[in-house]
Amino acid sequence: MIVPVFGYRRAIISFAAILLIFLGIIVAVILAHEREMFDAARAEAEGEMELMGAFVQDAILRHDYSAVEQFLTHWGIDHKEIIELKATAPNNFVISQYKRAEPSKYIFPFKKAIRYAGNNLVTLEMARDFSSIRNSLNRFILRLIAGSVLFMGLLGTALWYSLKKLALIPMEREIAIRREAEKKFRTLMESAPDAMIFVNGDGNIVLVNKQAEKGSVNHFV
Amino acid sequence: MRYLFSIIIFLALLCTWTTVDAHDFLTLGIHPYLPATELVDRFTPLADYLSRKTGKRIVIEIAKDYKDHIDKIGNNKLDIAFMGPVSYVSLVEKYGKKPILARLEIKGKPTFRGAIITAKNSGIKKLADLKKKRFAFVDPESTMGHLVPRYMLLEAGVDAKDLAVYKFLYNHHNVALSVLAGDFDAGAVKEDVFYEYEKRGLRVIEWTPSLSEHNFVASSMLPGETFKVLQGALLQLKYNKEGKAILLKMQGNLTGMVSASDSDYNNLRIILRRLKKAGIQP
Repeated sequence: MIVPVFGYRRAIISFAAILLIFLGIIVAVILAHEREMFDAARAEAEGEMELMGAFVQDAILRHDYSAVEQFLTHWGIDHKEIIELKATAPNNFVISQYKRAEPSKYIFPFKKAIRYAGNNLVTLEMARDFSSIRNSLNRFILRLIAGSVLFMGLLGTALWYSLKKLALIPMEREIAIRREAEKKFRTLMESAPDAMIFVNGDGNIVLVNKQAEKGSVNHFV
Repeated sequence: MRYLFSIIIFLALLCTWTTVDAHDFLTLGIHPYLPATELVDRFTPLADYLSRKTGKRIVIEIAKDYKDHIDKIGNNKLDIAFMGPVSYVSLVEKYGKKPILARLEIKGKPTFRGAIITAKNSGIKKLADLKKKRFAFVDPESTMGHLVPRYMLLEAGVDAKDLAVYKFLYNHHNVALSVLAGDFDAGAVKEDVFYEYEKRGLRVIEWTPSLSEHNFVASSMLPGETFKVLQGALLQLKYNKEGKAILLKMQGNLTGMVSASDSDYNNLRIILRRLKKAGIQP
């Protein structure tokens, strides 16, 4: 006996819904983790800006602009995630500008005004490449989703077979036996020479055979 | 008595031998404008070359300071001395003329100059406009970063007290950048530094006069024949591959050496005398 899959549509839909909810939870957790990673990277970048600011402030107070140029250029070269590093004087003169050759899609800008005794000495601007975090998170999400689908697939299949063996197959067998018994009973009833009418406890007719259909109801009353 | 006589004879011979040995090598003195190890490294190929040409060992001697260097060559304790233009003028002033072997030729020119600069958008047109303005110098002893510009300011009627403020920034690049950043209204730098920053917004208020470059002078006691050999060897440097390599090692932009006379330093002499009168001395 073949039982069509569509017969268990509800079970499949429920299972898919659970899978989707599970995946949704995973994505939500990843997004929360992503925000934490970006926040940590931002905090690190702001820390770097503080460090650079301290050096630049000291150098500019001594009018040692060539030291600022050298320092910021070397800082940019030494930190591969920095796309652009610029120091601008209050009169908009660009004291130093370092630019990385390779562009990026995930750029986060940072800006810091370096002040001393109420005077603006210089404005530091940094564009930082966060694509490494984005790429690693994307790889992590893909792996996690693929793993979850595989896990849920295996779990679903195992559950499906267990359920089928323990509950569905005996139930289907029982239904088949009952249907067979009903079929036999109906054959016997139809082949009976007498008219037969079944009435339930409320006095309503629930079943009649062909002989009974041939006669008038009044005839039986 | 006979023993005493023998000892005297022996000592006399020893002295003679020492004197002969002193003439077996020549001393090349260099003023300490860079760390001593760096100077030895830069000048060793030249010393080796001159040694081959003269047949005498050349010993490099780095002076402890500029004054020591001037005094040593002034007192003929060096055979050859590498001199900055200001040091040379001071030497002649104090000890009289010394024979000049050659002077440097940088990028094809035996002279150098500087500039008094300002930002392109500033309203300063001439040196007299610098009164009550902020001015950046390089170093009190810098020829183009202080002495010559200071002379030019004096000639234009601008004394230090007429400036709103002036500072020594100890670096030509810092002067250029400080003027561009607006910390100072004007400054004094050497020519190549001006050209390096010109595109970023600098302009010249006035060029300094061209001054004769660094030179090699010889001791007054140096034999004429040795002087001629040394001078010939120095002047020939730019004409052969080995010489070019020696020049490059000494200084990246050094293209050769040319002859010079004391009169080539006359304009600097006038400048220094004027500064001395105003109480400014290198």
